[in-house]
Amino acid sequence: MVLVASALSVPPVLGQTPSSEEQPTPVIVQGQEAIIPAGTSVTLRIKQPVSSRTAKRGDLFEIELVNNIYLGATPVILAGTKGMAQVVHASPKGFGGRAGELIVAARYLEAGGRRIVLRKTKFSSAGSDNAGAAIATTVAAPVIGLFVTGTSVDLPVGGIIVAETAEPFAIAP
Amino acid sequence: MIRISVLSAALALIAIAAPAVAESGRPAPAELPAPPEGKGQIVFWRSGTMMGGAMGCGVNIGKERISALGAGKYFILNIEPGAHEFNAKSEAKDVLNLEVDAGERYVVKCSIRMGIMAGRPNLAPSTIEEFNAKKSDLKYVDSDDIGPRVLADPG
Repeated sequence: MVLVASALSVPPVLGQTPSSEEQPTPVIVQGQEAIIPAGTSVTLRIKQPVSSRTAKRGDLFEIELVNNIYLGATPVILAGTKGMAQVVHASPKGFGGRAGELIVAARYLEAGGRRIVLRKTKFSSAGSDNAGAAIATTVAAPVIGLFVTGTSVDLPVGGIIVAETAEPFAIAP
Repeated sequence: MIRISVLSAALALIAIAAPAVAESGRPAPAELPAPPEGKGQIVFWRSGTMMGGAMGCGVNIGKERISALGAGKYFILNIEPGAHEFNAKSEAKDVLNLEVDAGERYVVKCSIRMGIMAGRPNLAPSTIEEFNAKKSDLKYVDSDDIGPRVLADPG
């Protein structure tokens, strides 16, 4: 087993556009296969708008990989690779100044006819409410393009979420 | 009819504006304990606001009571990874769906909003930053609100 450096996205900073700079992330080569290890961080772009005003639990929406995943100098998973994310929880603004709520999870990317299963999406938010406490923020990682409009949460096209691979993914180099 | 509605609303306001009285848990520690290996963690908290202060925010999974948050209280729930549906209810029921991965921490805030006859609890996504900003004012739930699933006071 040999460890080979590859590159992946740099986690974006809230309020900035995604960086084109790429940092090395290990891709493991086993025999004739390269393995993208579980826990590899991936930065994803929202391709369909999602709003706490209209979203329903279980709704699926399209995402894509922001930056290439490399094996050495060779990209093995290309930026733009499509996948799906899902609404885990959505609640519109409501009675008594209740703010809208939105939790989403990236489910998978589809590469070479197979799915790269994703987990630990770092996005959930409640809109600012009239009780004066809630602030729109992320759970544990940055999100770009999040807009809180009054008491609703909107995740627009181009918004960025960060997740990680749930299991090792083998690819032919 | 209008008089009755106005009276009901006034009574509800008086009921939810009364201050909380119970204070027994210790303040939140500088660092919250990490979730155990293979489990996720959810931190539930409620600010010490006067709004609905006399009313507990009972947190349930289905019909099972997990704990109840008084004003200015928090508790920690270590839980199996997967999808979980939490609810809090009084005259209305509020539901929050979460999907927790192993090693992952969610933070959930309960607030009490004005209702017709009683305050309405609301469970909403929060952040560790928001929790930490309020931490010095928060104490762990009282011992009689620490159900079998709830972590003992880490303070």
